[in-house]
Amino acid sequence: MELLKAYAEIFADCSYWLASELPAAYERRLDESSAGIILDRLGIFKDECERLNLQMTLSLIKDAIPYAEGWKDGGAALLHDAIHNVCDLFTRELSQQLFMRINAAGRTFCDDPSKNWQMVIKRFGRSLEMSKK
Amino acid sequence: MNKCFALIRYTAAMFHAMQIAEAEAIELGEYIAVTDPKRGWDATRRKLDELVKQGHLELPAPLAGKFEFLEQMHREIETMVFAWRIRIDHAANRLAIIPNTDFTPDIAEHIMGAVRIFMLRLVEGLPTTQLTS
Repeated sequence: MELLKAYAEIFADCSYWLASELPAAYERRLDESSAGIILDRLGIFKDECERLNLQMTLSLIKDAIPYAEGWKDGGAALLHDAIHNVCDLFTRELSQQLFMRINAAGRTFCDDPSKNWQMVIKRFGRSLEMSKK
Repeated sequence: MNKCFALIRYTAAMFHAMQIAEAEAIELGEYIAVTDPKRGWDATRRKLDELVKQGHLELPAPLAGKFEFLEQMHREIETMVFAWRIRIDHAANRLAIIPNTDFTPDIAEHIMGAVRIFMLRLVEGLPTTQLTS
């Protein structure tokens, strides 16, 4: 879980919530609220893994989500191990990726490089293409 | 350009910015009928300077009614030159980053902003028929 915090706020946030709700799953005393939090966080985690193309972790998250959704119907018993597997594989998968650090101010430039340039791109797309060569 | 900026590759971002500005300066040059056989940054700049100095009464017929636009473009080009002064060479009718030039994030952002405004003004004022090449 420590590794997650090093990468991004979203992972730190997810790891915090998953870790804090995980004992409830382990002890099989999940309630509506805990299951809801786990489900929400798994959803955010899933989106981030999709964005970063962490396919192995993504497939395990997809396996874990039905357990959280069906926590009343026996899913809780499997949820603890499923989340552990997600965290374990996530750590391994991250270790095989190259990450570049971008400060918060630069994030919008990277996430949406065409922001504020849409009109220019629409009209002068050709010159912008040229600039990539 | 924006991705290079986000990844703290300011010189690369400036390279892209220059390519965009240069390509469209040539396009603008065609519109204002640059006669210099060497189409390029300086040829357009000189012609624009000449047209603006002559005043709106002396504008060639195809540019009638476009004096404000030309004056604006003249100003935007000078703003870009001011933004990158001593960092970018345009002596050979081409824009080139002067070797070993460092761009701070503020300067890089300033140049990118100046290029963006130049391009937006072109979107507003350059007839679409000019963009068929």
